[in-house]
Formats: sequence, C-alpha cells, structure tokens
Amino acid sequence: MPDIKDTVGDGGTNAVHDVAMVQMMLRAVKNAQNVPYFSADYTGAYTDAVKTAIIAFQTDKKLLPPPPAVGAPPPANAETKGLIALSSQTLAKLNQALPAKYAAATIIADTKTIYLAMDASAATASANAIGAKADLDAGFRGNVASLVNQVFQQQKIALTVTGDGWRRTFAQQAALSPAVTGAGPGESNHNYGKAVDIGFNHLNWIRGNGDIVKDNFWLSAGGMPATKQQAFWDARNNLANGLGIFPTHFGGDLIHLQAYDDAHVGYANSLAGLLNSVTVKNMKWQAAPAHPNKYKNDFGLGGAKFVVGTAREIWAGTAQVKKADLVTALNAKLVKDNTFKLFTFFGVTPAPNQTPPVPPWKEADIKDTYLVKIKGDLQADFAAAGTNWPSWKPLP
Amino acid sequence: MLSLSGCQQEPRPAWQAAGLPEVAGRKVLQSFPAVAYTYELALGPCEKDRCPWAILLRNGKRLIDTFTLPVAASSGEASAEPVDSLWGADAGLQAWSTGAEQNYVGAVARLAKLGPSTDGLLVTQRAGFETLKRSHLLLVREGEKLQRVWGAEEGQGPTWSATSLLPETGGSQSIAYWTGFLSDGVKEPDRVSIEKLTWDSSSKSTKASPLPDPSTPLFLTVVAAYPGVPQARYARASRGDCLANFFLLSSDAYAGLPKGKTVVAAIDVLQSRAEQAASAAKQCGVTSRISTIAAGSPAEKE
Repeated sequence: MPDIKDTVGDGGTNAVHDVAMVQMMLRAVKNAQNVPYFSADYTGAYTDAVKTAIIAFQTDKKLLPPPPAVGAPPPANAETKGLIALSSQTLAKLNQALPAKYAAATIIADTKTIYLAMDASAATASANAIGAKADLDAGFRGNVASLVNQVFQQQKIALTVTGDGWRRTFAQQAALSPAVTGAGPGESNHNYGKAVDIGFNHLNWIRGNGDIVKDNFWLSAGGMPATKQQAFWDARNNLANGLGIFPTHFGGDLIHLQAYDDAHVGYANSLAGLLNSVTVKNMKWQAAPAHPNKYKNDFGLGGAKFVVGTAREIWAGTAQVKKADLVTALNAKLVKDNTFKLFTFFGVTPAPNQTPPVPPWKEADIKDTYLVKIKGDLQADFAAAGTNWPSWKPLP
Repeated sequence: MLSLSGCQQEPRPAWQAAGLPEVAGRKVLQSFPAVAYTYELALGPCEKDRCPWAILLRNGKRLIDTFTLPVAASSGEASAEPVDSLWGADAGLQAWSTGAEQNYVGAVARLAKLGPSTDGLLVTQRAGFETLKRSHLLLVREGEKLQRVWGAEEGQGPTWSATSLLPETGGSQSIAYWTGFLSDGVKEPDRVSIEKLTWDSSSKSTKASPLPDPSTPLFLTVVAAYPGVPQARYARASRGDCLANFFLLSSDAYAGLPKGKTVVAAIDVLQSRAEQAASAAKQCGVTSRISTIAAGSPAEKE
C-alpha cells in the first residue's frame, strides 16, 4: 500500500518523495464527476494546487469535522484541513480509493519517481544467481548478492544482471560489437570476474500522468528523463559504496559495477602483464603508449618490441605484423646470438639442398608463412591469457 | 640583462581590436572555411586534467565566437584517428582523439551546406572504453554567433548512433542520423533506424523525417541470413574483425529478404559506402548482396 514517511500539506514537512506520492494518488483518484483531484503531473513540488486537491478530497470524503463552536476545542482525532499525516484517515481513504494497479506504488527517499514494488522472489532469484556464479570474484559476488538483497529490502527493487553483464570469456568479449565497446578481448574487467552490469530490468515506474511504464535494465526504454534515471543509479550506488563495490569512472556506463576503484587502472597494461605471466611462446608484451589500445611484442626474440595491433586483431589471428619489423628483430637477435637459426625459429624443415637466406636478412627473405607463424604465436598467448584469466591483476 | 624594450608590448594587430580574445594554450586542430567565415575545431586550454574541446568562429583572423563541446578531454595532446563505419560519423573522415581507455575522447567535424546561403558545422564526439558513447550537434552561424540548432546524445545501454552528410541536392545538404540499440540479449536482434534532418530556413531549425524516403533510399549489404540471433551472432564472431561492423538485423523489417531470419548486414544511405562494406567483407572471403530499400518498404516501420 502506498505510504508516506511524513506529513504532506499545509504546515507539513512536504518531503519531495511524500509530495510526489500524494500528488500521484490524488491524480489517480477521481471525484464523483470522474475528474482527478489533482490534474497536473506529479513532480514532488508542494503547491497550492496540491493543498486544494487535498482539501477537495477530504471534503468529498467527509473527513473534515464541522467548524467547532467558538472557543471549543477541535474534536479528538480530527483530520487537519489540507494536511495528510502518516496514520491519518485521509491517507487511509486515499489508499482505499486508489486504483488497484497502483497498490504497490513506492518511492525512494529524496527522489521524484514513483514505481511499483517488485516481487521479493525476483530479488531472491537474482541474488542466488549471482552467488552461484563461480567465475565471479568470490568476494565481489558476495558483495553484489548483498547489494541485491539490500536494494530490495530498502527500495523494493530487484536488480538483475544483463545477458552479457557477467564474466565474459575473451571470445565473448570479442563477439561484442565495437560499436558499443572499445574494450577488446582481455581489456574488460568483465573478462576477469571483477565486474557485473546490474540494472533495473522490468521496473514499472509511473509517469507524471499516471501511466505505468515497464523499463529495461538501463532505464532507457520508457523515456525516463536523465535526471530521474540518475536518481535510481545514485540510490543503487549509495548502497554499493557501503559494500565495497565501485561504479566505473566513466559516466556513460552507469549499469557497470566493479570490485575495485578503476581511477588509476590501465587495462592495456594489465592485459600486457597477464600476457607476460602466461606466455607460451616466451614473448614479451607491452601496451603501446603512443597507440591507444594497441600492443607491442618482441616476437619471442628478446629484443625491441614492435606494434602488433589491437587485442581484437591479435585474438582473431590478424595481428598487424610487419615484415620490416620482423626483419629488424631477427637481425638484432642474430647480432646478440650468432647461433640463431632462422629456419629453426620458424619451424621450417628445409628441402634437400635448401639453405637459409644469408644474413643480414631482408624483407624479401620473410615468407608469408613466417608472418602466419608469428600471428599464431601472438594469438596463442592471448588464448593462454584467456585460459589463465584468474591470474590477472589490475595495474596502473 | 633585462632591457626595457623587452617589457614593451607590441601594438595589438588590427584584427584583435574587436572580437573575443585569443586564449593561450588553445590548439586549433582543423579549420573549415565557409563563405566569409571559418569554423575551427580546437582543444584546450587545459586546467588540471580537463581540456575542453571547442568550435571557434572566425571572420578573417578575428575570433568572434566559441562553442564548448559537451565532452572535455583529459589531455591536451590530440592525434589523428580514422573514422570507420561504426565511429559515429561519415566513414573515411579523420577524427582527433585524446587519451586512452576510460579517458578516451574523440571529436570530428565537417562542414554542411544546409541551404543555398546557410552553412553549419556538424560535430560528433565519441568517448569511453568499456562502453562507448557518442554525441552529435549541429552548429549554425547566425550573425556573429554560433547557435546549436540540433543535437543528440546516446542514452544508457548498448546504444549506437551516427551522423552522416547526404549528397548536396538543390544547393543544400541533409543529415542522416542513425540510432541503434545493439541488444546484448541472446535472442534480440539489433535495432537500427535512420532519419533525415533537413534544414528549414524559415524556422531556422532542422526537420526530422524517416528514411528511406523517395529521394533517399537505404542500401542494405547482407552477408548472410540465419534462423536466429544466436546463430548470426556466432557467425559474425567467428569471422573475427571482418564482420565486426555489420549488424544483426531482423529480416522482417526489410522488403525482399526472407522472413523470420536474422541477417548479418550493414545499412547505409550511400550506395558507395554499401559497396565498400561489400568489398571489405569480400576481402575476408565473405560474399554479400546489396539490396536497395526504397520508400514505402517495411523498413520504414521499424
């Protein structure tokens, strides 16, 4: 049953959430002429029109006592004209008259958007699903499950995780459209069980005019104004903060929550760190600072590193390996190690009478198959990182 | 030794006698000369880690107005970045980008001939990493002021948007504005719609109308049709980056396609760009077919 937390009306506290609720109720309830007592959209702002609507309702429902004789005290338990108190008859009558579809209406303190309380079983199922996700960081999933429970307890909203808002494998990350994410495989904290996208799917909220709108995870399906959306995210985040859960610093991704503060985390650096720790081809990796979202690699030759492309490209086996870079790396290797063998490095079994090209090597000496081999090695390291994702650590 | 003459100020050039003062630390990245006036895309000056992007309006060398773009950079160092079909602006342009990962902000501008005597600057910004978000705005010079006559920002969720200039007809150019919701659900296809923004000189505003229309068909580059979204999603992903720029669309929204399918497809207002999409797919060994979606087709109902 819709409720208020303090008084609304003349001399009342008139908290924005209470005023919004009373406005909505007075808009939904109609008088004998089938006219709403309050004809404007609910806003949370207390005005004379609200006062007039309250008095009209009280008058119609005969809730106001006749004027007392001069000098006589007002009758006990009498309703105050133009004021709705918590346990007042006016509120009780208003609830009785309210259409059933609004019976579960509720609102978060200090906000202006009324919504219908969600089902407890939905929150329980959501918390259980999160708690059962073994590939989410153990502490994090416990905190997120607690968040779901706390949000339902306090706000009667069942937060749920989006379809791909759980841990994502590198392959799943690669399958996301680059139109919506700049993070390639291994570049999202979703790939390491450190983040979830958790939102308000199926929340039924009430427009100013009383229409009930079923919304999506992001509160973006029903035309909710941005400031009202933000109020819901803020309410979620206020509880998340107390549980050691963090929003991301990028404002465009409000649904995202994570296990740590990412203000000083470099995702390319962190991925390079993981690649270096799990390399199966003895390669050295580094984020390419002058080439955002690209990586440098030494081709397993132990010398200088060269730009080899983006995570998406490397994961797909289409790394940008240049013959010129490979020649430079190979010749540098030979200077350091005069026993280095080109054919051995590339796994070439020479044909009878075939001799390796004479160093220093030139681009013409680099066969396309050599590039394929290097791209495969790079891809193999990414695959190893994808398999050994629990070893990932956030680095600056 | 400090000389007195070193402290004397040079006389102010005549062009600085009026207009806005030049701001130290602001870098002009690109100029867009229009009739009598020039628009400039500029970055800075930076205060701590906040570097505003701005559009400047000049008459000759005189700076007469500035408009600050909605998203600020966190670095004053910008580098050139190619614009592809998903960037959010006309593919083939050069954007400017700053920062990396969460601090990434890019901007691109292009001059639009909105009417025989009206030009404007169409600006797109893209920001973010884990989630990319775009904003678009159209600035028009009115007298010596820059006016924002249209703008759009992406909302929350897996959204995508883009703006693109249509070829000039009758001395004016319209703008194609894409909006997309690229569902992350297992079964939901992407939803992409396009509208045309046309300059109305009498009201000095843009008028929106759906595309395709009789003068502007859409071109759908279809790679393949699948029984459902999961199969189409898998097929796209299995091609690595090759088909990353293609959407997963419901065939029911387009005439001439088999019904009840999910197609891996690119959609454009220019045949040349549709052909480029087909060519890019072909380089990956994927064949495609270009369909023309004319006005009156079910595409309008999407």
